[in-house]
Amino acid sequence: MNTPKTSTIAAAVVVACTMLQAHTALARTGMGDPVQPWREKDPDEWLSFHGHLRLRSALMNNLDLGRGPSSDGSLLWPTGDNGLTVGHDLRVRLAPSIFMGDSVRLFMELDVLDNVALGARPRFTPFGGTPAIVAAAPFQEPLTALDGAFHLRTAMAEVILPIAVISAGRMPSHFGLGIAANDGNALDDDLGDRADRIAVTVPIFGHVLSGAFDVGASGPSGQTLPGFGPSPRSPLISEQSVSLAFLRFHSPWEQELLQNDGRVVVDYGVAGSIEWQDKDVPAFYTSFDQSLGNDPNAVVERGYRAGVLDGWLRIGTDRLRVEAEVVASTFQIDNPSPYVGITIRQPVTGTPFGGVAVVEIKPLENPQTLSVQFEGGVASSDPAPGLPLPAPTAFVGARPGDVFGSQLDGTKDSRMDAYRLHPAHRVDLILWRTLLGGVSEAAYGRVSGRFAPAQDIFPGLSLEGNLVYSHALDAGSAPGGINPLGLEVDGAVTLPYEQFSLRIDAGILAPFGGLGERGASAPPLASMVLVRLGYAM
Amino acid sequence: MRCERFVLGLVSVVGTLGCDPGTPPENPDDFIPVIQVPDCRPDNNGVIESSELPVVLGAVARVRVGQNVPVDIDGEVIDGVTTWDLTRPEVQTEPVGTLSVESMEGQWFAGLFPGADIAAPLLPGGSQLGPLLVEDDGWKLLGAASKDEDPPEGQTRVVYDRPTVLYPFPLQLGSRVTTTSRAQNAVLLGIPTAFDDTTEVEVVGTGTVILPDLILENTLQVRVRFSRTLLAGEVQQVSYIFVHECLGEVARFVSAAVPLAEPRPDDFATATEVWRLAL
Repeated sequence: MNTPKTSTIAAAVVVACTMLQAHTALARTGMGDPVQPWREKDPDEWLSFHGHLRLRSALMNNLDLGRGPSSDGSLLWPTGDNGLTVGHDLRVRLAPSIFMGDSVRLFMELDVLDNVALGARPRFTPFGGTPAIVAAAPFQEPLTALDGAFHLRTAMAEVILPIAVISAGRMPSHFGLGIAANDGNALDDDLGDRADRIAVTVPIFGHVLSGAFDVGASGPSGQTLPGFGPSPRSPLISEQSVSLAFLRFHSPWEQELLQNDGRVVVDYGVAGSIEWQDKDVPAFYTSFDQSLGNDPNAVVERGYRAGVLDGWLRIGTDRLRVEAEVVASTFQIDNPSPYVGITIRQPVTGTPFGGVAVVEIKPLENPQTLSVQFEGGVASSDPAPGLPLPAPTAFVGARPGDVFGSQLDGTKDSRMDAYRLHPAHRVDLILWRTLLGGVSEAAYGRVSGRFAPAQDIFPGLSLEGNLVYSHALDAGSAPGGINPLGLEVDGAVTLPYEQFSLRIDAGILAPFGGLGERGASAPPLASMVLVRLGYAM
Repeated sequence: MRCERFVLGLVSVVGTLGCDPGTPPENPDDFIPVIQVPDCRPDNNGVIESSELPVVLGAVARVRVGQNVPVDIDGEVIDGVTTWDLTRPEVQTEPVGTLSVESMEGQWFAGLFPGADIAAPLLPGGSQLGPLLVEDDGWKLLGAASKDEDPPEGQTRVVYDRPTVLYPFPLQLGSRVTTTSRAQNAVLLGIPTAFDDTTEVEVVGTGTVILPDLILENTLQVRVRFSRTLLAGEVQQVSYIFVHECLGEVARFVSAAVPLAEPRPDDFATATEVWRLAL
């Protein structure tokens, strides 16, 4: 059922901290210094250009975990050739900032290519509609929007006033560790949250207070003739939210300065969001037929209300970082029907929650050389079979043993309490990042390390290791019917050279019975190698 | 006989008919999904096109089945809209049955109905199936057959000489169709017989149906008058079937079966059987 699954709830978090978000995403496509774009630009510079080209190749073995199809026929992973699958994709992101005077900036992100598969459009295809072979077609046709080209990701502007920053447009949304709202701006990220938002940020006593208004879904206009001004819509069919955030935040460069001086840096924040939608025109989102805005028979009484509270704390020195985030939400949908003319009388409700805590230790004299990180996280569970669906689909209940399920079952189960940590909050390579779309209905414990040797010779070289154990909170909800999900070991090496970097990730997942089929033994080992070339401006 | 014929229901996604008042399995491993969401986009306009009654093979629907239930066939007009309140009796008092549509492939009687698209259950437990043609201008019943070729209660094998039209599309207020189909060399529960079935289908109302789990707007009320003439006598029965876009049959009232010589039971206050779609 397409109700607030965890991803929607996460989106609802949409916390405002605009100044931070805006700047974080601003002239950079990765995480960075909030005021960096302004500080780095020359006094007369009016345009700065950032972006990257990313090419990835992956080799995967047994990622289907030897599982057959779920009860709806879906496969966890393509079976490929005897369990072996490969993939290559390409992303080109351009992120220009246009500075207008000393206080106004326009920022955009355009994915010229958005994870387009290599070899997606062989030359001459589709061969004029006649059967042919591609064996002798090594080159490519131009890509179009239908192939994943020219996706506008961000379009926003901000003005820095003496007492506030006003931001407007489609902008990144991020808070804390990013377990609920995550802008996904790093080179190795996918997805990322963007919100259509107007926000005001005010500095108060060393803190930042932000308020924001978001329009999550506007519905059909109904306007059939050309007109001036915003196209008219019923105010009741929009999905809208207001958010308030209060934070104390030090940018990375500030942290470094303070910590090098032996100071303890404490950052924290709390954000709340309220979201609502009184009515809906569900058919619009399958047809995008604007005329439905004039059809009273197309309207569904929705009665949606949600509230989200997110808290974040970070304490850091030059040798230690303790950071945690907890998010909880509650929601009710009076009528969860996706069909006009059909009212489901049983409301859908839920109280999903999640949290992550991290302790990072840098034991050597040079703190950049070695860091060891301990991390634990949890995403609340729901007794219904399967993990929450990564995207809205149906009302359909799942069978025990399915990997994913709607968490709802008619009137027998109208609660949706499962939470999914944001998929961009990565804890591993295979299980949660690649297979399951983010930690959900589980707890995990993780030990990871980063070693950066020989920086004089290979500046930026780093070696990483990661060990993760995952445990389902509710055995009945786990695909295999028992709690232990798996143990994964990952390693990575990053080799940068100026604006280029090569990163190689490799991992082995030992799935336990919780990931297997009901009554069967644990699935076989799964493994994956991911090679990434990054060219970043 | 009552279920055998009137079940025809219609139904689409939800499957079809069958009066199996069994209970859902208690073993969670036997969990049955409630409703497979169909690839169907209702427009809530009170007219049901063939595309608005998709058939989903294997989809399972649940119905609450009550017997000897007081009913209000005419409904109540609320704010200008005819409304049938089917929230009573309390749902806890009624068994829940499951309905599903089967493929004709592999059925022992498939050769008797070479044009049939699907097989819909006609009797409790799906022990008897009705081969149906699903066409743009209507759903058509070709006959009936026992699910098993040699069941303990005796084989049923009924092949109509002409299809009985159940839903003439587009289905809307005033739509009507009458079909008389003859079954010769038929076998009912192991007994050889022959008979004529006359089925009058007419959409006689439109309005809102309130079920325990759902409220459905612009639902059509379809009256089905059925009569069967056998060598041993004649019988007639009237059903009111409520049909909704994309869901198909969502409720039905079934009258008592009476001899053909008696007045037609168009207006009855107590239904021998009431079905209500359940989530």
